[in-house]
Amino acid sequence: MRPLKICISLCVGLLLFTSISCSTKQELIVLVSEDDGTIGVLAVDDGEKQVVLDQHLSAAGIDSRGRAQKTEVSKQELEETFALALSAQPDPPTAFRLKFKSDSTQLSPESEGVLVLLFAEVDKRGGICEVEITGHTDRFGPLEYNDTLSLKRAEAIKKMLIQRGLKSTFVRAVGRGEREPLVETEDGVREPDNRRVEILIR
Amino acid sequence: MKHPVALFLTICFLVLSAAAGPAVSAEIGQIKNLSNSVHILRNNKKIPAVAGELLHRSDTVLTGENSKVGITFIDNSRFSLGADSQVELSRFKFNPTTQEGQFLTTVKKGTLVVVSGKIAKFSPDAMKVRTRTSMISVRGTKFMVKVTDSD
Repeated sequence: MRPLKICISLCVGLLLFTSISCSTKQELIVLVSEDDGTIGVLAVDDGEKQVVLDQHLSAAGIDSRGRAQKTEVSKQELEETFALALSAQPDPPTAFRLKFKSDSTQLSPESEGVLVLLFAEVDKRGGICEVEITGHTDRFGPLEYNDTLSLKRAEAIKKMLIQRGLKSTFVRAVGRGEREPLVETEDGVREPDNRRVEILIR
Repeated sequence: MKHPVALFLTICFLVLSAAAGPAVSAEIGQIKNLSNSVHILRNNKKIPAVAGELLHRSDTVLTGENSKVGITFIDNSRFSLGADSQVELSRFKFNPTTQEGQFLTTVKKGTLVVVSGKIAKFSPDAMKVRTRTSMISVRGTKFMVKVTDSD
């Protein structure tokens, strides 16, 4: 009888061990809040069901059978598991705004000062950055016309920056038209504050 | 061209193409920082990565032992990878004028930290991350994914 009991115990032990290994997380997905507290939403679909994550540290673990389940992760566990990736996070972009003298393509006096700061930022990043120049218009004129106009303004600024010795090799001009006003107005209203170029150093 | 009609049509075509909107350029992002062994797999070639390198859609980013890399994208998404990772930028489309886009990332193995950008804000299904077994729809914003290597 004894060898049989031993055999059974071993079998049970093996089964338990296997089931524990099978439930080890093969994949882990964790939602976290950003530095400013913003929190988003993730929907994790394993092919059969969806697990929704919408709180700081809410997580889904996926087992070796491909099933997703809500799970818990501590801040410490997270920091250990993702230590290298967390230490390589790129900085958020820096933004600069250029304005024009009314009804002209000449920069306003304050904008010259902004340019100095912009060049300093590019230098600080050793030229390893993307410079995205976005033109904006007010709501005076048709949508398509403003798309073209804002792009032309952005391209003019891009040309000027390059002429002035901009070090970055990744420079893009974008036209946003009237889609992102600083000051909300009715359609067809002239608003000089909306006529501007926003530059992101990414 | 001999025929004025052909010339006229060619000019029309060129003007219309120019007016069609911003050209879709190949560069979708840039490597901002990296440490140790980081490579880009592009068109079946393995290229050692450097800071400042531009990334294209379909690129795969590979990190080796004790290596890491930080990447920004033209829609403001930010990625960072830890060691022994393989992440493919499977699909990326972004119209900077309308901010419409689509972004599919495949995490084959390793660790990835993401802060989503404008594409994820555009619509709930616009940004997705695929792992070996799951599909994650990203409505925003910061999250982490770990995929254990099979074997």
